[in-house]
Amino acid sequence: MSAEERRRLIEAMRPEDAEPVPQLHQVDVPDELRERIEAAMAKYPQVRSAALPALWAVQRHYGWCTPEGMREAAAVMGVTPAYLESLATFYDLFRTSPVARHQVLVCHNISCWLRGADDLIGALCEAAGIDAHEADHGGANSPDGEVFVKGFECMGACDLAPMASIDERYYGPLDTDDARAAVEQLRAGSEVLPGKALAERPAAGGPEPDPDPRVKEVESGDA
Amino acid sequence: MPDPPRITLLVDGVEVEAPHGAMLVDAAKHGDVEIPVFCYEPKLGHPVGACRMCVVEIEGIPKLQTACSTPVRDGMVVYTQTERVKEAQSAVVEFLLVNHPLDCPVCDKGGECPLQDVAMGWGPGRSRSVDPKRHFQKPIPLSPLIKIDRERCILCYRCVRFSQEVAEDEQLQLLERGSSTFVGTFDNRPYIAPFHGNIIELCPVGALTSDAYRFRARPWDIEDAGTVCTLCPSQCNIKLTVRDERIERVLARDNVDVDDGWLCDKGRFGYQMAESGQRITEPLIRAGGELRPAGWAEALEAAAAGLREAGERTAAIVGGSSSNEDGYLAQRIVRKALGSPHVESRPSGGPGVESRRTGGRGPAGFLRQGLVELSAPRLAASVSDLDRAESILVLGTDPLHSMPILDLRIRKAVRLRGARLAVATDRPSVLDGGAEETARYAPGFVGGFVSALAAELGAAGYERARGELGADAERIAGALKPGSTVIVWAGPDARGLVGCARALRLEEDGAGLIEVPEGANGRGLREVGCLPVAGPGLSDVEQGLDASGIRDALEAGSLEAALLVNADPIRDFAGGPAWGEALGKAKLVLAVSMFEDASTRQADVVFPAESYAEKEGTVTHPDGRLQRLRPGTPHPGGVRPMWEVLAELGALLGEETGVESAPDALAAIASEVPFYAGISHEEIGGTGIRWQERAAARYWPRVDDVGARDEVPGREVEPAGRTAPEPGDTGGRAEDVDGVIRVGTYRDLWAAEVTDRSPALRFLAPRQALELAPRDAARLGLGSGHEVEVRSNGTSVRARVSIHERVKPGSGFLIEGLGDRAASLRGELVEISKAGEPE
Ligand code: SF4
Ligand code: SF4
Ligand code: FES
Ligand code: FES
Repeated sequence: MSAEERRRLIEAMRPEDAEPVPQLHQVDVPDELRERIEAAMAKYPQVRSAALPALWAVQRHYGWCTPEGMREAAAVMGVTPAYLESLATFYDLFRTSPVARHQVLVCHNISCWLRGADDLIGALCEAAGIDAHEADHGGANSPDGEVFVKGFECMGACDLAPMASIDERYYGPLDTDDARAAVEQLRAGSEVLPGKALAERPAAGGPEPDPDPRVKEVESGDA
Repeated sequence: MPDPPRITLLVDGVEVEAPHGAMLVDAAKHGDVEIPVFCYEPKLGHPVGACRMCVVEIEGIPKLQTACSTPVRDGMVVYTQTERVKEAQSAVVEFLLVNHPLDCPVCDKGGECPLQDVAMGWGPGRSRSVDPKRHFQKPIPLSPLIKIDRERCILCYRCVRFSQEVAEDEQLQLLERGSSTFVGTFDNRPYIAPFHGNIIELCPVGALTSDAYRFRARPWDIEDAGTVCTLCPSQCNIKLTVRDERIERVLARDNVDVDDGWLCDKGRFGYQMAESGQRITEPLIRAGGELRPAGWAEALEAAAAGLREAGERTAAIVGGSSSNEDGYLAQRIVRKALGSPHVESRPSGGPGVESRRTGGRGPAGFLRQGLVELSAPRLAASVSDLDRAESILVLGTDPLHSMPILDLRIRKAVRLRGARLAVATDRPSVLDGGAEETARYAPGFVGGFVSALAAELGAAGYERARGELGADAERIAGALKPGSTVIVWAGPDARGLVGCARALRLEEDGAGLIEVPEGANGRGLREVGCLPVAGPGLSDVEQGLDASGIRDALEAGSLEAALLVNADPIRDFAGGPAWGEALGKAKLVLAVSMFEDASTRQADVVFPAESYAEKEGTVTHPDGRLQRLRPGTPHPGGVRPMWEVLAELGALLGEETGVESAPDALAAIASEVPFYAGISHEEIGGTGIRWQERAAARYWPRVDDVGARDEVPGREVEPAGRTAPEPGDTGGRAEDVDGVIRVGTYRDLWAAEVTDRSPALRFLAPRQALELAPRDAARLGLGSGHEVEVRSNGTSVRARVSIHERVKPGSGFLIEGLGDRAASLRGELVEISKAGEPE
C-alpha cells in the first residue's frame, strides 16, 4: 500500500463505518433466516451459545457466510458481526468466501493420506479444473462454479479411507475413477457415486456386502 | 473490604511475603524477582495464560506453571531460575520471534518494547529458524488513529481482550484462528470506538501504533510529565510525552481511584489542541472593530477600566476546564472588587437549581440546601466504591458521553462482580445492555422520575406514581440494594434524590452518590464559589443570576460587562446563538480563551488562556478528589499563568489577593473553603486526595444552617413547557399525546472544542442528528439521513434523522454543544418537518 493509498483509506474511514452491534432496522433479514436464528437462541440460556447454529443458518441461506448475512445474524442476536466472523473464520465448515454449488471435502489426514488421499484430491481437481495445491490449502472453486474442493482434516470416518464428504454426505473408499465420476455427476446434477455412500453401508441400513473371503480363511483357521 | 491475609512463600530460596490469592508474578515482585510476561495485564481482568512466557517451577507440581495465573499459597516453593525454566522461557521467546520481523530500527516501540526487553533478558540470543516468516501488508490503518502491523503482532490477546472485556465494543477480534491468526475487524471495517486508543498502550510490541505519534520520538528523546486531563469530569491521570517542549503523546498514569489506567480517545489525542498553531498567544484588544495584539499591561488596564465602569453590573461565566484557582480568583474579582453577585459555571443547571420557569431567580436558601444535602461527605461515593457496591443506579446521564471513564468502571463492576445495574434515563444509554433493569422517562422528566423512585423506595413524603411511571420506578427500586448502592447521576432537577439516599441508606460505607457535573471541573468550581447562589465553601452570599438570567440581563442592558473565563457560552450554554446577541450588547466582554471562537468574536479584550498541559493548579474530581495540574510544557508566546493574570487584574481593581504563586492561590482557597482547610500541593501529591477523607470535611455546611425547606418534597419544578404534574401523575409522558415528539438533548462525547481543534479527532465531530424511534420515524414519513427542521416556539434546529430502536416512542434527541439552539429545545414538544432527502 502506498503512502497515498493509505492516506486516502484513512480519509475514507468514517465513524459510521465501524461495525458495532447492528440494529434490526439497519438490516433486511429474510424471515426464514430470522426464525431459524431465533429458534436457536431460544434453546440456550446464553444467547452466544446460538452463534454456531446462527452462522450455520446464514450459510444455509446464502451458500456461505456472507458479510451481509453475518450482519443480519448479529442484529438478530445483538452481538457484533466481528464476533460472528471470528467464529466463522475459525471453523473449517464455515465458508467466508463465495463457494461453488457443490462442496467436496477430501480428508487428507493420516489414514486417508496413507490410502491415497493425495491422488484422490489430484484426480478430483483435475476433473474439476482446480489447482490441487490451492484446493489442499484452504479450498478452491472450479471455474464453472459447480464444484468446490478442499483438503480437510480427519472426519472420523477412517474406516472409509480414503474418503470425502460430498455435499455433507460421506463417501468412501474412493479411487481416482470415483473422483472423475463424482465430478461429472455433480455437474450433471445426477446421483453421486451410487453404492459408495456411508449411508448405504450395512451398519447404516444398506445392503449386506459380499462376505470378505479373508474372514472365512480366518474362521477356518487356515491363516 | 478487609485486606486479604498475608502469606509467606519461597521464591528462589528467598522468603517473600505477599497477600493471599495474589498472582505469583505479582507476589514475586515483593521479593524483587522479575518473571517475564506478555499477555498478563491485571487491568484486563482475569489472566488468560495465553503466551506461556511466565512459566516457572513450583515444588510439588510436575509441570511448569504460568506465574501470571497461579495464585500464591502459604508455603509455596517457587523456582524461576532453574535450567528447566530457562529453557522453556527461552523457547517461548524463540517461538515468538519465528514470525517477528525484528524491524526495531524502524519500529516506534523500539526502546520501550517489552518484546525487546524480554528477548534480551530471557531469549536465546540467536534464531535457528531458516523458513520464511509470515507476511502481511504493513502498516495498514486499523482506524484513522491507529496503524496495525500484523507482522509484529505476537498474538498476546491483549488488544482483543480490551475490546471484548473492558470496552465491550467487541469490534476487534482474532480472525482465522489457527496457524494464520491475525487481529482484525469485521469485513475490514475501521475500528472506531471511544476507548480504542488504549490498545496502543496495551500492545507489548509495535503492532499497534498511534498514527499521530509514529516516528515522532524515541524514548531517549522524551520526558514524561504527569498531570491530569481536564477535558471532561473523569479527570484521568495522564503522562504527557514531551519532546523539545512539545507534547507528542499522552499516556495513562494509572490511578485506580480515578481511571483504572484507561483513557478515552479524547484525552489520548486531544493534546493536539494544546499544540495547535491557531492558539491565541498574546492579549488582544478590540480597536476599530478588529482584535489587535496588545501587551499585557495595556490589556489588563483596558480590562480593568471596563470592569471598573461596569462595577456591579458585571457577570462572570467560568468554563468547566478552569482550575479551582482560576475560578476562585474570578469569582473573587467579581464579588469582592466589583460587588456583583453574578457568577456562574453551569451551562444548564445543577442540583436543586431552579427551572427556567423562574429564570433561576428562586430563593437562594433552597438551592444551597439542595447542594449541601446532595454533595454532603456522608453521601459521597468514591469512584472505587463502584468496585464494591452490590448495585449501581445510573440516573439521568450516559457516562460514556458525560464521564467516559465511569462507563468502563461500571462495566467492570457488572462483568467481574456481577453488580446489579439499573439505568434510568430519557435517552437510551450504552450501558443498557448490561443492565438488569432499565427505565425510560419522557425527556427532561428526571425530577418526576426521581420522586416516583423515592416513593417506591419508601421515602417519607413521596407519593407512589401511577401507571407506567410507577411501574418503572418500582422495577428500578427492586434492583437496588439498600446500604450497598452507588448512584451515578446528573440532572438539573433531582431533589427527590435526598429521599432516595435516605431510603437506600447511602450514608453507609461503599454506598453513596456520584454526581456528574457538566464541566470537567464542575465540582471544584462549585466549591470555590462559582455559583450564583453560593460563595466559596458554599457560603451564603447575595444571590446572583444563573446563566440564562445573565444572558437576559445582558440582552436587556441591566448587566454591562461579561467576564468569560475559559468559557464559550455561544457554543456550550443553553440558548447558544442567543448568547451572541447578549454579548453583542455588553459594553465590555473580557474573554479568557485559547482560541478565537464565537464568543471572542464579541470580546473587547481577550486574554490568551493556558492549556491544561501548561497549567499549574488544582481541580476537584466529581468524587471530591483534589488533583494537581502540573505544567508539562512551557507557555507558548505571551501566555501567562491564569492565576497570575487574575491576581493582577484583581489588584488593579483594588482587590489585593496576595497571591504570588500557584500554591498561594490554593492557600487562599483553603482559607475560604472550610472543608478544604489546610490543603496543599504536597498533600494532594501525585494521586490526589479526597477532601471527604480529611479531617476538615467536618466543616461541610450543616443542612439546618442553610435555611428552611420551602417546598413540599415530591413536588417537582417542572421542565419548561409542561404543566406541573401532580405527584403520582404519569408525568405527561410524551407517548400519551399522539403525533408529537418531546425533545431531549444530550452532550455527545465528541461535541466539544477539542474535537474541532485536534486534527486527529476531527473526523469524529458529530453533525446535528435527531434520534427517533422507528415507529415515530415511520409515522412522520422519515428515514435515516433525512434532513429535518425541528421547531418549537420560534426556535428551530436543522438535523439529520437517525433511527434508534431503543428510543422511546414519543421522544426525540438532539445533540448539545454544536453551536446551534438545540439545548433550548430541551424538554419541549416540537414540530418536525422535512428539509431534504438523505444524501
Ligand atoms: S496487536 Fe499487540 S496487543 Fe494485539 S494481540 Fe498483537 S501483540 Fe497483542
Ligand atoms: S475520560 Fe475524560 S478525563 Fe479521561 S482521558 Fe477522556 S477526556 Fe480526559
Ligand atoms: S483420516 Fe480421513 S477420515 Fe480419519
Ligand atoms: S504472561 Fe503468563 S501466560 Fe502470558
